[in-house]
Amino acid sequence: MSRGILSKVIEEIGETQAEIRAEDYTMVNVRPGEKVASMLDLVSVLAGKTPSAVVAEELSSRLAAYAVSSATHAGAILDAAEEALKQSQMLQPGCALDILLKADVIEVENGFEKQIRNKLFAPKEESERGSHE
Amino acid sequence: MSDQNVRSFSVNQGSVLDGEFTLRVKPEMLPEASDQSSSGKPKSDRKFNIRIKQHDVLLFDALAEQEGVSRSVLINRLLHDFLRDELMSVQDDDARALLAVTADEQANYDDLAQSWVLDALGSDFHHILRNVLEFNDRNEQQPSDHPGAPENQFNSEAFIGLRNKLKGIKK
Repeated sequence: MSRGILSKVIEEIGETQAEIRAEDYTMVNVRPGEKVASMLDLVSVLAGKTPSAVVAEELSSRLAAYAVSSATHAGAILDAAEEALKQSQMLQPGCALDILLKADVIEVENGFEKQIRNKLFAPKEESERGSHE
Repeated sequence: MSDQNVRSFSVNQGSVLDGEFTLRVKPEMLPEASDQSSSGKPKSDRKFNIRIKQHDVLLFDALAEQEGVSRSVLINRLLHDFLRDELMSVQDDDARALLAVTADEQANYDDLAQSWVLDALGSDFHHILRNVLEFNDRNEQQPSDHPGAPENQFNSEAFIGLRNKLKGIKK
């Protein structure tokens, strides 16, 4: 049985609602202009997805690629990563910063890791002195 | 003549031309309002709600601030690059051209934003486009060169499939 118009509409409403409720996401309103809007519409129709769904999976990797396209972006990457870690202590899986982390462009050491490192790699004299005392 | 097209006012500059001036615009000499648009299509200026990961929003904002542009400008730039790459990933020239033409038909371009190259070579460009869509070849072709050729004889399978799908969508 082919899918009816109403079932498609209901599915899209559900999808949109799920998108809005997803805590890890923000709905951003964009006016991309005639050229981008018309092609985005066309790709969405051909793919059978909403424009948001077409873009959502691609945007993080595009943003990561853009961020590493210039050394002048280093400060902005640091600013964003600092804010993200202050908010949630770890990077959202699949976000552009997470992609940069996995690509070894950025390095994160959390408080726990720092403690472990200090204990394991503390200078020998200090640890020996500690044991004599 | 309608009052909207006539205006009277007094001028006092201390010259012999001083006095009551009357100004008229001849509407019959002006094109209709609907002819002023380049393509006749209304400008859409549509909005899209795009779902973005929260940490991506932070990076967008940081990069946008550093570059002195808005977040929206940066998102649009990436969207354009993404869609252009998608278009260019289509291997067959005729199918790629068909997608581009279909998208362009839906858009209302501002002539001021059009590239100078298109202004300079517009007619040549349209000639090449016709060759690609009809013969899947950029070089000069004439229908008379191929007498009795069935429709879409020269088109790729991707073009034919895409054209049929687009017909269904347009209905």
